[in-house]
Amino acid sequence: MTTVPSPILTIIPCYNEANNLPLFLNKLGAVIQAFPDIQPLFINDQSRDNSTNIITAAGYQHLNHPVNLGYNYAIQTGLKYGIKQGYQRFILLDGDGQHPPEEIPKLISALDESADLVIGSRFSIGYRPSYPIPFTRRLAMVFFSLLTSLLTGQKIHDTSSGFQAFRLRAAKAMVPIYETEFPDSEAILLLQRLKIKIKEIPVTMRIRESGSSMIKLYYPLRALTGLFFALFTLSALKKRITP
Amino acid sequence: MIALSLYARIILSASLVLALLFVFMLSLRTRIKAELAILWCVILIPATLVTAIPSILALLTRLIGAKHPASTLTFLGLGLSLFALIYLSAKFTVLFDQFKNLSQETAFIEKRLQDLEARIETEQNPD
Repeated sequence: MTTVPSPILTIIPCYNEANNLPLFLNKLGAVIQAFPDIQPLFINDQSRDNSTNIITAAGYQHLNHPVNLGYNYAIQTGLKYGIKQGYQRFILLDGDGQHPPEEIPKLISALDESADLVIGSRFSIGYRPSYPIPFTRRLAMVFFSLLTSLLTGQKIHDTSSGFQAFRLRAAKAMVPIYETEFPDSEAILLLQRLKIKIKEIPVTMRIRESGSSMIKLYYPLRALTGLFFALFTLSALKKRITP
Repeated sequence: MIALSLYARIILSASLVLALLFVFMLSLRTRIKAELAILWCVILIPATLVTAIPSILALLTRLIGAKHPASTLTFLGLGLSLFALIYLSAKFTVLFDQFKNLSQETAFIEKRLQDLEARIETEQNPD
């Protein structure tokens, strides 16, 4: 696959991350200095803390939702913007510091090597995570991994990883997927059916420094329902993809 | 089959007529969308007729195999409420989608405005 040097839009959804942002911005700044192609775009999902001021002061480009729409719609906003602006490569990264910016180059090289979508997996060998994950959550992750692998025929260890890099083709396919509430396994399933080349690489992730995760106890049940419905709505979703 | 008493029929029908009047008043004051007013009329008018006319209620009771007309009324009430809730859920989804698209477009326009302002400022003060 040929590598065309072009700016990479790094979509960073952000909601009440004022405590995590300073450290995250420092690390991101260092990575951007080494890789000037990386162009961050913060999606401020109507944060009620000081996040807006911190992002503005840092001078990075950002989009402000006038109301809180949620994590998935924040990503969708970033994707729509990037597609409109003609970006060819995208990175998804959480603004809570869980996804270390210094791991971005790994994703980019994997993308440029041979993939349309690269998933940064928190599992290195087998299902051993790069940071401590509660047993029940880990169990749910393994279950969804096995289920997704069974449905797609491709081994994916970390189906819920939000640390991803992808090309325009995958980005266009992902816009309608982000209408669903828990698009993790559904996205992989649909992208795989669209013959989008998916690759998974291990990355180091961290526990978020402060604040609470958006993943709640009912997540497995909702995700399972989502995956079940996805099997019936795949053709409808396919039709909604912008050519 | 124990039929509804006249008193019960009057109370139930009057409640439904009041609800219908309320919808009508809201509609006159444009406080309810015509589409939703029609939905409530479609639910309330048949419900009023079934409650007020004993022969219709008896027929329906036989049709659904209920023992008592009161059970038929409860069944109809629940069924029609469920229909209204599902309809409103679908409506809510469409409206949320439109609202979300508007919010995203607002964010894009705000960004474009900021970029334009920055560009104008740079052009006016090149140093």
